Amino acid sequence: MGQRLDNAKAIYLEGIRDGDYEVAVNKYVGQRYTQHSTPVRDGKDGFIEFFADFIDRNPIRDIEIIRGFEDGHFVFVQAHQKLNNGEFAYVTADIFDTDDDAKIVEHWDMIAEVEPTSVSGRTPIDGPTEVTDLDKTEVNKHLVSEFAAKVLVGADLALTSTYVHADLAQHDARIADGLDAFVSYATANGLVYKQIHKVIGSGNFVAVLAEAEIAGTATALIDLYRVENGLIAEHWVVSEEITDPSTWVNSGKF
Amino acid sequence: MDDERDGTVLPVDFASEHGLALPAEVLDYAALVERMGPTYFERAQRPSFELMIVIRSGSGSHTVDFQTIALHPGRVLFVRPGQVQQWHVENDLSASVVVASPTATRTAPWLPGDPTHADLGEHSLATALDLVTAIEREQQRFTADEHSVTLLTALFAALVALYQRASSEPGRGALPHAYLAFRAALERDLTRSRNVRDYVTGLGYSERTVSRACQTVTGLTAKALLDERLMLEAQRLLAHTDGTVASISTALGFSEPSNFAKFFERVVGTSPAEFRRSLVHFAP
Repeated sequence: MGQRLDNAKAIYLEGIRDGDYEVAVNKYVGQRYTQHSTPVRDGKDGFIEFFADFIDRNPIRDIEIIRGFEDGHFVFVQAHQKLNNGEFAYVTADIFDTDDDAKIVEHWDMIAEVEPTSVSGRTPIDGPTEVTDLDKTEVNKHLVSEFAAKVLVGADLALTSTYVHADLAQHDARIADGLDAFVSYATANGLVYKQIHKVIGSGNFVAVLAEAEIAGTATALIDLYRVENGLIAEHWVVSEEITDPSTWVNSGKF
Repeated sequence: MDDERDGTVLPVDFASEHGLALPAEVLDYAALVERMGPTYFERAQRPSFELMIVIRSGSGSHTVDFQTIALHPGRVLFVRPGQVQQWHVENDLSASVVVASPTATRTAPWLPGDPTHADLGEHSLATALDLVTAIEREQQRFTADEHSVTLLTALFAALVALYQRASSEPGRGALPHAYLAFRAALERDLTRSRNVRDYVTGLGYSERTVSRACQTVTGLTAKALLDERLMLEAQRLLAHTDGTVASISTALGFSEPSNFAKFFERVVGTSPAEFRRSLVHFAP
């Protein structure tokens, strides 16, 4: 799509998959590297320090980029990581900010183990990957922003059908397909988003970085929505529990 | 000029002090904060000049129109006349502050959605710092002749061009002229009317064309954009003036303060008084 997405993919694939983390970080990172991945310190040194150990611990790294797009300076990437021949399987969602040389300067991420089963039968990564409807980027971002503000933060679930297709394809392992299943889940678990931190999109895809309370637990999420004909038709999510600030080595998830 | 370097002239008075004489001037961030003292920066300001902050090293934050922006090495902030800003004196930064009269930018006036900051890569930052040094050098030998004015204006315009090239915000491309014309009309006559038709008249586009252009660009109708812009103005006035809610309501063209309060709450989500109280915690 562009140099920014290429650089974000390259730091993943060359730096982490191929293990050339030091070369990759110097090649693809700009004058700063502000980290929101809480075990990784800010700066190129922080990245090198973390991945030297990560590569040691995980000698076999099968990493695939599933989805990705650029929105201005921002890049979204969703990846599937299989480590050590099936010892771990992770899905990750990342947002990168870049400078005007297209080099990475800031990074937000969510990582979660791939659940072995899901209510809908979908996996956290399957479904359409192609970015289409490029002329609808702004309208789709607006639709998702309004959905997030009114339904997720505002907790006005009665409005869900204004934004979400009745046959919503659901990749959240805990929720069945369809609008009704989402509403029931949100009601039963007291799902309330506290704050929407970032909304970036390209064509039919819109990603949202947010914090929420799910069943009483402070949670950080990157939701990914696919919009079709003016309604949210598909939803993927990667979430993490927000740990105590004493465990962070940087400024935190957002 | 000499007053400037003594530190007796507040930067906020820059434009009125110099008029068009000195089109652009560079100030050191830390020296500026120290010389003004913490109380000067306690509340929101609405300068009438262009203000660019170029960060060399350190970190901190700056608030522009109620959005807090992190400051990082290589980041450039561009605050436009009319915007409300808040300095955070606890910042530990090596940065240059460039102030300029609005005529020195040769750029179009501020429009909602314009980016407030950009992250310059290595090469752009080197060019930006060269331009800052050049403005600094030229302001010291400034003689108010026509060519010196042109020179400083051109140097600042170059800095703005560099910033704009680096700051393409998410999803912004070539915007339809009907949208830009409507936005410009709002900026020009904001308190004149709350009826879209009054702003569209004379633009050469039908109300429908304008509204469709607004929807394409922002997803919002022309009326929603008008309402949103009017309430940004209300927030700015609540933040940087001591005017009562009733007087701000009148200034914005509302006949009844209660209508204004209801309208504000619908668009912003809190009452005008609550919004103003929340600004006590404006500085993080």
